[in-house]
Amino acid sequence: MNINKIKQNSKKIKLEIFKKFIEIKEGHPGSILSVFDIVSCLYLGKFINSKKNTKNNDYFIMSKGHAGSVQYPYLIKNNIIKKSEWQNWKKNKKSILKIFPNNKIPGVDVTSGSLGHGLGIASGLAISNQNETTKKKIWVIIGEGELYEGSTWEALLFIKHHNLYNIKIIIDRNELIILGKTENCLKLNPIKKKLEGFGFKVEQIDGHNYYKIIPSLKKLKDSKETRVLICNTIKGNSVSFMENKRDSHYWQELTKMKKKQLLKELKI
Amino acid sequence: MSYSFQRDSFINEIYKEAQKNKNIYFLSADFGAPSLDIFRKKLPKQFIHTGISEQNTIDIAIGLSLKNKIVVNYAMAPFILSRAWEQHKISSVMKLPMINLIPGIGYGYANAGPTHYSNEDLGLANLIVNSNIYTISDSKSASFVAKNIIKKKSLYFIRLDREKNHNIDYTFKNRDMKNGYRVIFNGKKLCIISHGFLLNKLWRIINNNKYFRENITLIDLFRCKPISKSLSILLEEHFHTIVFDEQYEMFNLSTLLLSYVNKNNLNTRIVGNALNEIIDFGNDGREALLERNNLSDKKIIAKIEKFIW
Repeated sequence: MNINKIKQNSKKIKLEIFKKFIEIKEGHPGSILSVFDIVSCLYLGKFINSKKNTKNNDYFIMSKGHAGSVQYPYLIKNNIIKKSEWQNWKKNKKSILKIFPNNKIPGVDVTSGSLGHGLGIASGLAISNQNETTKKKIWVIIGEGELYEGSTWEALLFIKHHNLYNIKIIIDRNELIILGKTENCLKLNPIKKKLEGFGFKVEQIDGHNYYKIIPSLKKLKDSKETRVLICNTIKGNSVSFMENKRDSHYWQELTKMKKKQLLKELKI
Repeated sequence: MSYSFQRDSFINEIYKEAQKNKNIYFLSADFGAPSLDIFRKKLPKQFIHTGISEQNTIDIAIGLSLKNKIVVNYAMAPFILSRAWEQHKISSVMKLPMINLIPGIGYGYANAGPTHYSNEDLGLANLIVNSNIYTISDSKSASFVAKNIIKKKSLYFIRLDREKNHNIDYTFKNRDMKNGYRVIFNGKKLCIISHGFLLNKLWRIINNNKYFRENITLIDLFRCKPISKSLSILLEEHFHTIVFDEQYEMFNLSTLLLSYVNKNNLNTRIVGNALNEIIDFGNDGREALLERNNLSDKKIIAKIEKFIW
């Protein structure tokens, strides 16, 4: 696996996504940029089995639905979503792509947006998997904000009890929620210890370092134990005026100069 | 006169089908029944104990339903619906079929107090887009409904009573399922519509009174969402239709019927009888609770007499 190549291709995709957001004037830039490198490694590193017209594809649940549109370029690359859908996004009523993904969109397994459902839904998929011969993997990315939802912990109890190691859990830990830093608003730490207390093997890495992400994803993929990969990330990563800014959660009207700066910084 | 539990009749039918169909899964958030003990023992791979976690139960059901499994969710009425309402909304958003079994509606858990009353579940279930709502009044109707829905892929809320009920003297016909109601008595002077525990009570009251039997039309509207078009004919045959329900006055069966009458521009008058908007801590049994809401036998008879003479 050529990590440098994955990095280069990822950069191009990131730029395309933001060109599109500028065009359609919406998106959740901060969250997309925090989770982007993880998603890119998952798809470009071929950790997720995602091909056209096959029943053996893995499941992918972006539980933090506001960052769900990050999947589209990869689903287009894999010929699951038509390229024309990307071009027509928001241009007419028939356009199927939305900022929040839904299960009518090819390749999107679960409608998301409301937080705290991803792991529970993955549990149902995994239980059903147990009685089948093909063991598909169920990749779930949750935002750390979802750790405030009781249903997330209900699901973790269930996953551990049934040893549903086919659920590959990744936490995007960017330390920000809408009103500020998680540790100031309502402490989540020590997340790692809490998850270990639930019986999970936990690894914590830099969620923007491809040389760390790729080996950890491989470990997560091959594991026959229930594991969680915590990725420390930066909300708004790689755009200086968005980084670590809670305002970057929602799309803000950008001046011409800011647009130029955004695209320039994404090209670097 | 025979008595039996609705939940056992319903679960027994699910069990019979599940023996033949490995795609049927039964999820329980720590709620039991004698019939379920058999299910768990004989079909352990199809039974999932989800813990006392109603929200996660429905999320798990969503995952199973995405894999085309037939899922039955089961927990006490006040919790399976209100606690997990948003999860039900998500299943509706994704258009996923599932069967939600809701035992203990109304004052079914009268001895447990207001936290366990389920006097608002009809409204909550009604707000779920594309939901189908059934309210069971005896174990025969429980079996009948179970047999008819298990193979149909829709989103169901099946509201069951907690107690053993009289089996109503009625033989189901094929058309009843299509109609979503059964006409138990067919008199000309007054129409009464109800469902669940109160329908069973009304049947007993009317059955014990020859004049009532001969002059009242008693309709068990066991499916109140969607209401069948054919009900409009029956409603227009009567000047008054009295509706009884063990839900709050803010939303109950009469609310649905009023909306139905307005939508179809029907020439009839709906008179609703439901629960007062109060939290009643009186730990003195279901009949006492109903008495304070003018729904005891005596007060129901007085109401009927007021309209029938």
